[in-house]
Amino acid sequence: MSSTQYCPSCGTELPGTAHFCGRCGHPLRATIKISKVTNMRRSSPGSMLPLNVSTARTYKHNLLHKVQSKLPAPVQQTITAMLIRAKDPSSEVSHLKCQLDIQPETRHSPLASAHLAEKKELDIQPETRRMPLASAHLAERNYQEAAGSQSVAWGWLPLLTLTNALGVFSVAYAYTSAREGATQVEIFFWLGLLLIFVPSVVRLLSPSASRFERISLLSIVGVCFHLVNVLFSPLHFSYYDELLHWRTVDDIVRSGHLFGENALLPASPFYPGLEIVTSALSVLSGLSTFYAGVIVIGIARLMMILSLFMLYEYLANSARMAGIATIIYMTNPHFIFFDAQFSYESLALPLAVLVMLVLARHEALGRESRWRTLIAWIILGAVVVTHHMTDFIFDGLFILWAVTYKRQHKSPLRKSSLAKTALFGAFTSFAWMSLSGNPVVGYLSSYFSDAFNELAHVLIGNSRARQLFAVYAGTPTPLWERAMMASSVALILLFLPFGLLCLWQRHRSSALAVMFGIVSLFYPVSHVFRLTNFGSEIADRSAAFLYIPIAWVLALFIIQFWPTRTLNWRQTSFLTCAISVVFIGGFILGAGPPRELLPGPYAVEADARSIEPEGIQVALWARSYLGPDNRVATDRTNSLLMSTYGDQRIVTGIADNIDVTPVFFSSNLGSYEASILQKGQIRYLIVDLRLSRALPSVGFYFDPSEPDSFHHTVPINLKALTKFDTMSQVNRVFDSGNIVIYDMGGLINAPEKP
Amino acid sequence: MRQKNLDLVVALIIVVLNILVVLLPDRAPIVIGLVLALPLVFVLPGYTLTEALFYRRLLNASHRLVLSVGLSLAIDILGGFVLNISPAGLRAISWVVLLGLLTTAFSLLVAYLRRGALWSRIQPVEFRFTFYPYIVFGLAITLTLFAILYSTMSAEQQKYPGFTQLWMLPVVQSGKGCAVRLGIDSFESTSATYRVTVTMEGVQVSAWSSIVLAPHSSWVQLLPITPKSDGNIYVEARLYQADKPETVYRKVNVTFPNTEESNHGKVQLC
Repeated sequence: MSSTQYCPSCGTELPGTAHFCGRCGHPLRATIKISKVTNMRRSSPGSMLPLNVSTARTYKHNLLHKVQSKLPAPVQQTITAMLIRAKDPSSEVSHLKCQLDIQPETRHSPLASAHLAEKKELDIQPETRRMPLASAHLAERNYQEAAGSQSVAWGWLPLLTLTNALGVFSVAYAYTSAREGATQVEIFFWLGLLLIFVPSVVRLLSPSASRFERISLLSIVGVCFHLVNVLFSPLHFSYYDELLHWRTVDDIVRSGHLFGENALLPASPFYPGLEIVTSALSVLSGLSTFYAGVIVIGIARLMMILSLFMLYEYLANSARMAGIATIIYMTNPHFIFFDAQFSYESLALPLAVLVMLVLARHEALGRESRWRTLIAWIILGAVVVTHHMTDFIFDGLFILWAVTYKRQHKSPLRKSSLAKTALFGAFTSFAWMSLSGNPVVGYLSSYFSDAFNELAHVLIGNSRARQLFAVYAGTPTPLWERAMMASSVALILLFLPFGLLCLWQRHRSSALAVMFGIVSLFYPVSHVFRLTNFGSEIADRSAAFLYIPIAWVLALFIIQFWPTRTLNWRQTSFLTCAISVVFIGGFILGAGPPRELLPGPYAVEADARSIEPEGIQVALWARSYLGPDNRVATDRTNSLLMSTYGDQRIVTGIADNIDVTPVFFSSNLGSYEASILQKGQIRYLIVDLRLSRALPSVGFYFDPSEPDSFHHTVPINLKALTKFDTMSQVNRVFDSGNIVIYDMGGLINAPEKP
Repeated sequence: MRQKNLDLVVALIIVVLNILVVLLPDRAPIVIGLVLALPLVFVLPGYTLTEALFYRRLLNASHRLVLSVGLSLAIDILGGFVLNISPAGLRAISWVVLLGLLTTAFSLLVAYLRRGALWSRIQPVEFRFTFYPYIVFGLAITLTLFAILYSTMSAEQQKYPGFTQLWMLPVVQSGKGCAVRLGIDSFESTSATYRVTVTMEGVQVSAWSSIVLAPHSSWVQLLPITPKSDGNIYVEARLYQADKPETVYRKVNVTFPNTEESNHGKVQLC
């Protein structure tokens, strides 16, 4: 075994006795002497980097060296050490060697297979290793070998399944206690989440888990998090978006046809992918829409986890890294609640990730490439008609990926399946958007224009920035929760550059990896929107997409900086703590503090907490006695209930271009308010008197465009809500104590006042 | 040969059973419907298509699973648009026909493509059966089911403040007189006793002194209205609780237009 060393600056192979790099002149004090046979195997063909020694690079390296040499010695050593870590091709190899040497029976494990594949790679001619296509073929072969093992080793899986089940039980206990009126039960909620998450992270960081164990563990964690969401409301839909989509499903089941009307979310009938699958399961099985929806979302989440894992695994050729990246993805602010809701993004996102997985493998395939392209197109077609934003974002990702791919490959773009798929996606998206009646352009443009306008005003100082950690109602966010949220974002921002450094050193020959690196740079940008009220949701909503590359980049950083050969319990504990902080902070960022999330008594405009029997019974009464499809106006929560349980037609700004909020806010019903009622042909007003008792938790009572939205300091005036009682043309036809229904028929039939 | 296509045979049996269940005059139990619908909606179309497209290649289990589910979902979604065009629409029978036809067609294609292939190329999964993991798994599943039941029962029994609905709707039938339909729906936690008074233009016309309603029960009356003038008629109903007889608990009112403009001039409605 001959001893050799590599220059940390330019990567040139040098004799073990050299003190300076003969090419770039870099001093070799800090370089590591490594074994040629065991340590220089590359863990992933996709990560192979040719040792390019062109003149341009030499010049660049000389420049870098000059800059570096002027830095103090400790800084120089730190930079050198970081560069060595970042480009270490054997971060996971030593352990493999141990496995092969010590445990012959585990040679059929995926990691061992990957190791053997790497050995084969070393036999390939150097010039072949520099060809991206050849490396892609190798990646496919190695991936197949690594993933193809059929042996099953349980490892820690049974025990971790039990801790996960304990976690679910702890969350169920927190929910039940909260329903019974107990306070200070958030601790059980946190305990449950951490019981599910933390042991799984520890095991996924461990090099000894098999691929089967990692996949199973991630699937179980995914199912448990799904249950955390379902158990909050195990009898009916209760989140805002869920009720919006429930209305569309009910329309499909009732009419047997698509493209009904949904006044609260006019885009929903034009993107009915989720509703189609749910209605299919519902009518075939006899299940209610709620339970059918729970199953559809559960299956979609499992598919998301498997697709992500395999995508990451293919990219890194490491089941361990794929497992770490997937669990990091689960720390995204919307993973547990928002993306587990019965909402179109929850289905479209897994399908889009599957398209990415299918495309990721297309480069290495010959004849079968066309079938993979066909599969990608079929699934992409489903994404196009399932969720607009997921579709648009992934179209952008595919285009960026195709451009990156083109820069690395000499073959013409028109021959690339990736480019064809990107074009297909863009074309079908445009065609679907242009469909007659599709309101998506207006729907999205109004939201984004409001968000960008507010941001522009904040940036140029015309308006105040939104106060961070502010709550619109209730108690302020505790300090520790603020610290967790800030730490979560800070840790990602801190580690991201190192991850990108590793990506550049190890994976820049992979177009997908480079695309991931570019997209992850949008993460800091997305947080600028937290300074706005309208756009603060953008930061959280974008996380579901941005975390796909971010999770991989961070996992790469972990793999490179804490290689398995030196991994000990202290490092594992540190990494587990860091990932857990990102998880807890991300959770609070996306879902809000747990005390607000736990079930409990009615709260004003608090989405799930506002859905309670009185409102539901009012809506059911309206359907029974007033009949369906009456034009009604009401607040945010009762709009949902009247649209779903009540089957009424809600008059909204988004569907009718009518702002009804002055009717409720004004102290008397003047000619302007009457003209709104007449213009909207609003037959019934549903007035919830509880609105006058508290500030709205979501920041507004009726619509984000209402006066003082997000800045209410006092609740809406009770006199304003009861002003209809004294009007002779208005009938007060229903009273349940908190909710009153007014029949405005006499008023809207009256001639419009000048 | 039979063993080689065992998966396809099972797929076709599930399709046939789904058709039978849908054609049954009485709805099958939900458990049976669910057990049969799950593979038809989420697995079979995608699985058979995957097998048809990759019949030359041995896909690993995770890849086959994710492609089967993903393609099935995509086929369902795109199939929904096909059914929307058809007069039958998105009904149980049309779904089972569409998904059954696709599964059958893909299965036949796969059987044809597999005709020369050897069965032995598919490796069975090697499970090492030891007692301990299965006990722990069983414990975990039991605990999870218990947690689900626990949370579901607590949601069913969650206590909310009781409430009572009072409502009144005008019933106008031209030429046949007017009436109001008056109703009370109790959602209080215990039985409650109510008193109701109805006034017309401020004059009491009806009263019910002791209406006892159990939780989730209703009381409805149709009350004819006899107008005393040609103008609008104002009718008001008030609900009192027996234990607070002076405090109005609920209040509703309606105003009847007694006359209506028509081609023959003003027509009396009530």
